[in-house]
Amino acid sequence: MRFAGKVAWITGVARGIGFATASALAREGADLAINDIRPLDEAAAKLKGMGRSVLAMQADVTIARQVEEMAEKIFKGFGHIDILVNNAGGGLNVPFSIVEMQEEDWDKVVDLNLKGSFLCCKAAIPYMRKQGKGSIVNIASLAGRSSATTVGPAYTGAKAGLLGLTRHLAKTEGPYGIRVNAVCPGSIMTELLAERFKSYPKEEQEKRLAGTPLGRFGRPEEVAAAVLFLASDEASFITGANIDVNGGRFMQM
Amino acid sequence: MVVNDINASLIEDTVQEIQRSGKRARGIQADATNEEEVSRMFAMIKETFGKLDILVNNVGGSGGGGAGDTSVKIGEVPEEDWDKVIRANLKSTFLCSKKAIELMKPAGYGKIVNISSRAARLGTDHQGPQYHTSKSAVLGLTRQLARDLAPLGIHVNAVAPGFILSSPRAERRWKETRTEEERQAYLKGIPMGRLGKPEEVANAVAFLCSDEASYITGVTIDINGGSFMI
Repeated sequence: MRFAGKVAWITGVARGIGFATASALAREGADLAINDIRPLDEAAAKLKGMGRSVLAMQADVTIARQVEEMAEKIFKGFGHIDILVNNAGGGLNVPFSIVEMQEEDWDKVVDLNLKGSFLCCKAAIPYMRKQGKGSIVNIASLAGRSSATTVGPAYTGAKAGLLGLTRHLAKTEGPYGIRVNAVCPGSIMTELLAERFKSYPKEEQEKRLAGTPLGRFGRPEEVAAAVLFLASDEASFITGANIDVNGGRFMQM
Repeated sequence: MVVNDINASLIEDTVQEIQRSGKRARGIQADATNEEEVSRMFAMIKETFGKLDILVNNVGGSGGGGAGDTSVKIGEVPEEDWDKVIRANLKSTFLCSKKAIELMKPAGYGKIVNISSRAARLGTDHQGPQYHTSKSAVLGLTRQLARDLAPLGIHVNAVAPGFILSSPRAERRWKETRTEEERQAYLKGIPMGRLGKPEEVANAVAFLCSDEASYITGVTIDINGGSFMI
């Protein structure tokens, strides 16, 4: 068990990649501090069922005070914060075209995908500095590495910004023993997407998979595996790096 | 496990260590830049194990075939140094991948991991253009093979290590070619403030070879303590 005795703070855990990451960390022995803006009862019950301590915190990661309170609660409850996974994010169904995108659309997408991670890093890092050790993994996106076909410019911009934040913090926090890395998932088949995809005609399905050399969508567990690798001591000389989990859809130097 | 090196004396210890851990291991001395010797090696793999799941293309270096250092400045690089290093880093990867694919294809499964270098991502004063060029080319080959081989179930990825204290030779190089002041300045450029260990590269290779990396192909993992970020 790679994470026995470790405390991991994961945001956006109610479903999808966040839940898969929390489950994988629990399986590997970590105690969990989980967050979502949605109710967490179901996720928390499942994770507790895996025999770990679970602190569930419904909170909005874009509001500084709520984030600070989470960090305080985690430290009070567990005494340390070893891992932070900034997973909360999303496209929020705002318009794709910049012409139709309103200022408030831009702000809410950038707040969720970029500011939320900034605030959680800001809240966790003082504890990690004191420990002289910590590992942060930011869930960015293929959109941040390249561009996206279904989400608008705010999402692409915010995720690219998150990669910049990752590199900046890797540099400034390295001397404190804190590693900061990112994972960029491509098209990941969450339960919600799977249902929708099945309803597409075969031709449409094929069109959506063209351009992915592995010829399929990814699974949340496959993103979680990369997050765990980066969060673990196996990655002890890796910081400021990014792992693309996209089936070969985008490859860059 | 099949253990290869051009230097026969380096193989036996590794083979024994693997055998002591209860795994089957065979050593084979061969020059990975020579097509005939590579063919012989893969024929042996086929005969001994009947299949191949994983290939790690680790052969390489700035001197080529362990022949010592080559020149650093392009004006002083003889054509033969250029050829030697390109062969060691790039041609070996091409030849071994080509042969490995023949064994992986029937199974519809395979993992190839190429050891590139941070030198592929930026220039340095300590290695010549032949080293930077060939390690960059390894990344190009990685991406192309990833695209071509994905439909066959074969994943191809790379790692790009920074300065790793990988051998007594690397330690000597670190200590003897730099003054104390230069060493401190070098470490200042690494946010983690230290050089890497070979195990830290191995961990990333093992991750990419595993089924945990089942949706990852065509990527490069940087293992450099933050000294270069892309």
